[in-house]
Amino acid sequence: MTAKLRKGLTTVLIGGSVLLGLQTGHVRGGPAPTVAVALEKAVITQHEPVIVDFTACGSSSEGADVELGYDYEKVEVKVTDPDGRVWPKPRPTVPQEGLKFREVVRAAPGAAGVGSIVLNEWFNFDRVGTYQINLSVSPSGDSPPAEMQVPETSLTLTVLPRDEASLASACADLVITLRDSKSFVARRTAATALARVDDPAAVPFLAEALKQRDFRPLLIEALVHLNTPDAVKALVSASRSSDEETSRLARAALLGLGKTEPPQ
Amino acid sequence: MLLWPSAFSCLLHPRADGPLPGQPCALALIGHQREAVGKGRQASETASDGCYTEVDLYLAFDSTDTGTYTVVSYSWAFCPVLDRWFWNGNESEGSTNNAYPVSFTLTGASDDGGGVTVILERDFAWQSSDGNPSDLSNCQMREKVTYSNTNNSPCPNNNPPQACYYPPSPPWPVNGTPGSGYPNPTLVEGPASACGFKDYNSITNLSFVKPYSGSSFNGTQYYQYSCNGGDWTNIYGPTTITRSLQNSQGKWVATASASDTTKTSTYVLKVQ
Repeated sequence: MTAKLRKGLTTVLIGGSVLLGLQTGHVRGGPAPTVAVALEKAVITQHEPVIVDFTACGSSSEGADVELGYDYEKVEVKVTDPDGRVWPKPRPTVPQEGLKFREVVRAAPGAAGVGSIVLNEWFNFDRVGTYQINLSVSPSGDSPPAEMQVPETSLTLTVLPRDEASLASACADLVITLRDSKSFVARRTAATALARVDDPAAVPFLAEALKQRDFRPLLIEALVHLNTPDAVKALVSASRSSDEETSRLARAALLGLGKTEPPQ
Repeated sequence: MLLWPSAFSCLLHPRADGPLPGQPCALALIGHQREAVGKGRQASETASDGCYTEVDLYLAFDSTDTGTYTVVSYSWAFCPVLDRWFWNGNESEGSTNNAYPVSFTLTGASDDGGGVTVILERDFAWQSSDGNPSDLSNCQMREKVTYSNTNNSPCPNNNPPQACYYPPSPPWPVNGTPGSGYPNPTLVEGPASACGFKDYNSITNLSFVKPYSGSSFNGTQYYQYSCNGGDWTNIYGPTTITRSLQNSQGKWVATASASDTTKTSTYVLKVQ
């Protein structure tokens, strides 16, 4: 069991989670497969990422899938901010260029699988206060037998004032996941969440994460967005990487920032 | 080579002779004997309790090693105080996972532009080498598209913050305007365990500049996978992605096509 999975399951057990039964109604032997939807952290400080975990558990005899669609197109989210304003998830734009991956949370028989969504990709949680998050997953028209349906789930998130230590701790946890997890999905979630931390406190962690081989375009884009002296320094360091792809991406990013000559 | 587990730590007493980076450590596994390599961290790095130094150990497995392994005994030449194995803070018990993507297939293609823009969609699917898609959780897929290295400069509005290839203008849109450049290389990665993706190739700016002339440019595309942090392996390609402006029967037509399908996305320019 991965640390991510353990963390997800712990969250499910002790957090304010919603445990839902399998809706497919064809369970053979053993407890029915389940899917749980929960916030990874229900209380955060400003600028920390907001992550929702989908934890699927297969029965002893059958696995189970939670189908989230291409680029999470099946996931519907509405966020009510502390002022009572309701924000729907932006509708996907007409796809033009690039890959749209199918997103599925898979659980093997007798095992669990976790998939996560970083809500900061669609929403801003910068205001201090309590947020209500309503989430559902549209059923497929042609659901395969093992596919689980996820009814609407309501989650509550509390955002406390910015706290540098908490933010640094959250970023450090993401870097550890990015470095140590074997699961691609867990590492991608960590990289996405780190890249969405819109705070200069994230810079040293982005720089550390950039030492990994994966997610370089995402991490470099985040450093460019923050564009602090330390962020530029991290890009300069990456531009000198022995890895050709990393150095090329970092050099181009520096050029885009108008840094034609990397500072020493 | 596979690593098992990827972050495999043991605790060493600080007063014992510490391990050196890369020092070998013998491990006895049920039915197997493998050599692990310890990567000693810097001496200044100690666990939060100040008592122990963490060391990461890596076990080398090859493609013939499958199944579950349990550490039953171990020895460390310079550190007899080694007492327990930990992995992410828990006693270790892991299994190898050698699954990788196979049977990568183009399952469909269509012109999604509907005559009002240029979007070529191609759908792909694949399977797991062991038949279990969830075993691909350690794997990722990506596309890598490269264009000519000439006429490269930062992408429009530095979004994404990388180099873009700009086809010649005229007839292509003014360089630097939104959608006029194509990220070079284009790298998009995602999970392998879902066993499917859709790939869209389009002409992202249709504001062609007069005087029009027949013009086309190519991108070379590979789909690749990587498992357990290994190198990228090509699973499909090369595919040539061609975007063009052509005069067809007296009308200027923009198209996007790919060498692995006969489908083409076509758009007749409004301003002829």
